[in-house]
Amino acid sequence: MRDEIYEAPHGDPMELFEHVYVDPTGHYDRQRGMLQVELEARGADGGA
Amino acid sequence: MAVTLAQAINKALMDAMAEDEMVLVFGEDVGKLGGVFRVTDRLQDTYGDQRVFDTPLAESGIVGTAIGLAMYGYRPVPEIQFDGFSYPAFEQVVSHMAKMRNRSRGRVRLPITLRIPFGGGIGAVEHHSESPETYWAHTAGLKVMAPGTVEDGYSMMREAIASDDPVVFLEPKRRYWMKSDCELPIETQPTHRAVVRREGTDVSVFAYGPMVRTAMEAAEAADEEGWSLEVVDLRSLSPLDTETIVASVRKTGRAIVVHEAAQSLGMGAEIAARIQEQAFYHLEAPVLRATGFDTPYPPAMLEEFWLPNVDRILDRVESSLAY
Repeated sequence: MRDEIYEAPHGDPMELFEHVYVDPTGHYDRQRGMLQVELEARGADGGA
Repeated sequence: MAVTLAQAINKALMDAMAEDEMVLVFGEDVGKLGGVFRVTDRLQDTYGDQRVFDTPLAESGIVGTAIGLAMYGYRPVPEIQFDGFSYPAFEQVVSHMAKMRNRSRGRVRLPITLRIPFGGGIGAVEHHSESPETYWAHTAGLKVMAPGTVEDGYSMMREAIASDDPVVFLEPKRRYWMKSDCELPIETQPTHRAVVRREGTDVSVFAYGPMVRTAMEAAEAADEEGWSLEVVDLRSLSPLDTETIVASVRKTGRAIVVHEAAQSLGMGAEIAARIQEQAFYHLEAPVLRATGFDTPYPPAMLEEFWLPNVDRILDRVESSLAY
């Protein structure tokens, strides 16, 4: 498990919302959308 | 003379220990090392290892020891090394430190100042960048302070140590190295009062601790857009200075609350509730929040995307003005 964690890809800001709940709510989707808008404003494509 | 926040708090501890031999400082690495952020630097050299001492890595024991010492008349200033380490001490803080006065019907006072470096922004690993303020502010019997300036770092710490109520003193660790030209000792406004750091007319921005500086930077950037932001430094989270909050909103008609902590049920929710209770008819737009997201604090390489910044604040300002 340790190796899997270390080897997992990281650096995509949208990962912030991954694996928090098994069943995310609409509230989560709204916050995820807010971050997406921020990233687009930065000119980012989702990668750090 | 340029003084950092860490130096200001260190000076406050130095001076408080000089004035009152019942003041004790203890925690993980606070003695010989002088603290991981050097906030307790030279205290042990100055006051000896009976008044400034290292503890085991056991936060529940640190707070429990502080409670016992306070019951015997000492004025303990324990340190929890990082915010996330305060959770093992949660039961001692909430069930005992906060309630002893009420439980004893006023017979026992616990003049404890529990220092906790809090918040993110330093690229730390897990458990080192938490914003636990709402847990403490939600707990009756605790005062909760969060200085946002160097001067307040000194003055509020002195006031905390002098308080006969237990205080959770949240130190914005990302601001430990910010500097101000000031002479210490200094006495600023009483801690229970919020302070308007910058006058404005369009939108009130409420912040505390590390976000005060960010809010000030946002206000400067907003000027370029022609928006006048009023920045209010809350300073005390419990008690909360509702009077100053409401006065500002009555003036501007708009409010943004900024904090690093996750949004849901954070300080922003309480402040928004108080504003709508006491200034509803003065509001020109809903109270908005610029906060961290409702997720666990992320790994260091992603924290810049999680933490509120100038752009997030200005986005909320624009939304408020467009309402």
